[in-house]
Amino acid sequence: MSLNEVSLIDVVRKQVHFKWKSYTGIFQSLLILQILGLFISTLGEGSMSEPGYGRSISVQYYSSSILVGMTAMWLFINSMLLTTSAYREDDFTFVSTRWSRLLANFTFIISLALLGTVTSFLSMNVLKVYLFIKNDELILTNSLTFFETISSLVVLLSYLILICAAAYTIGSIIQRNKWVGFGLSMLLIVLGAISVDYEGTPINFLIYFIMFDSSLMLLLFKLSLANGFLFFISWMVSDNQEVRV
Amino acid sequence: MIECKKLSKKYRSHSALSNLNCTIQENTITGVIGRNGAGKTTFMKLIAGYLKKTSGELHVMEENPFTSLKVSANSIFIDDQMSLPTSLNLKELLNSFARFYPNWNEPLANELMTYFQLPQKAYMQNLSKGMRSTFQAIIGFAARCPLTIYDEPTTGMDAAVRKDFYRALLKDYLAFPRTILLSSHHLEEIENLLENVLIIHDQKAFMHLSVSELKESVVAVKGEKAAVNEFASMHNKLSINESFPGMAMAVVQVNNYIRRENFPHLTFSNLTANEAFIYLTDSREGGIDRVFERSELD
Repeated sequence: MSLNEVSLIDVVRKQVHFKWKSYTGIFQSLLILQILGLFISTLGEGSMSEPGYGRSISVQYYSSSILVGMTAMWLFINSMLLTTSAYREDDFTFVSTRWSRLLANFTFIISLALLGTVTSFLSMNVLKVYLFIKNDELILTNSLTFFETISSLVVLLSYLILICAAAYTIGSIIQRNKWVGFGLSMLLIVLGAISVDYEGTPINFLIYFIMFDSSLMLLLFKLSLANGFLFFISWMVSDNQEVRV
Repeated sequence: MIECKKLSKKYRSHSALSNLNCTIQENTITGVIGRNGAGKTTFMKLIAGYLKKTSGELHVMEENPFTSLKVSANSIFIDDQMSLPTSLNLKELLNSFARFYPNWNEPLANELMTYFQLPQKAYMQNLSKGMRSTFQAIIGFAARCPLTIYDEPTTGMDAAVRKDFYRALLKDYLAFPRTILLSSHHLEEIENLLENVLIIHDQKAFMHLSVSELKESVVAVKGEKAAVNEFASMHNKLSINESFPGMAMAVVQVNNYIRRENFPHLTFSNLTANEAFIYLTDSREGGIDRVFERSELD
């Protein structure tokens, strides 16, 4: 029997397709989280009232930050879970190499981030519609132009991708060595929590340097660089990984 | 198809294969036989690219299987612990395999599913052990991979299904010749199927020969104790015991043809491939009986 030549891109495409078809639990959990997020968002974030003579002003704030936060959490957990042995062994039951699997997983988590961005945006609009129907008082929304809306979504998407890439990298390290991975995560959390608030520390500087930039293009460029770095680490860590030991 | 030179594999705590040498030709059915823990599964997982070799050389389709996409696309590894997503039903699983394997034979898969009465809408986790093995065997047939590896494929199957499986394997092999590696504890069941046997013993390729050569390499002799002893001392003695006073039976490994008429006092009998294998790989003098004899002495 003659051997079949296969192209890497073709295999990666098939793997991504397979993941979309078989990882149904991931999508179900997104649905549940978004509904929960919507429900919590309708309670409002805060209120302010100003009593006066013959008139009073009361302001109720609503925002979709809980929705976005929940989506981010969902992405973080699922990106990390993708590195676990159950998913890994499934991949190798079909056609896969370590390299094609990494490419497929990164493509898949980028598509998850895209899905998260779009659904959060849509849910936010559901929230708006709900509030419009429920309240007959004056409603002010921050009205963005089309370009502003798009660019804010692009930025959100890039942040979410960064979260995914970070979670996947941490997951990959944990898969190789539990204690190193665990220690590293704890160190990052503790150091991060301490130094985010203190200017002048390296982590604080790094976070501000990568995450905040007034130029959209420059911001995207920095985020892509950070993602590329995380991708490289994941590759270094998982290149030698055995399956079904 | 497969070439190993001084192939070794060490796990963290112990070594599983050491200095294994063998060459497996294209389009042959080879039985990989060995006692429990001999290293069969490790050997097969190395070939499938699941595990990374510790040292030595391993070429499958002239490539290193651990990193080769070509090997992955042209080989399939079937065993009872095959990992499949629980979210897909059998039909959807077959469709997934069909997308990945270009030679996929869909009519055959469907026919076999019907024949073995596997419901298309069922999920893997709800099947019995034997049905799961049957389903995995069907995947192996339908994928038509140039290199198909079955590790203990008949686990849990009942006798009738096992028989069907072997027959299907042979028919499918004749229709689409390919390289098949098959490991099983039941050598007597598969010996008619195999062309070659690769015996892995003590982490090495102990013997690699055809089934008939394996049968001929071991012979049992019966007769008077003195004559049997004399005969056994001329050959590689594998086992000897007294059946009743004065008479003995020995199993010996022979390297060349024996003229039986030269030993008129001895009765020769041939062994099955399975018996030959057991005698060849039995390193413990006296067998299990010895253990009980010793413990009774205490």
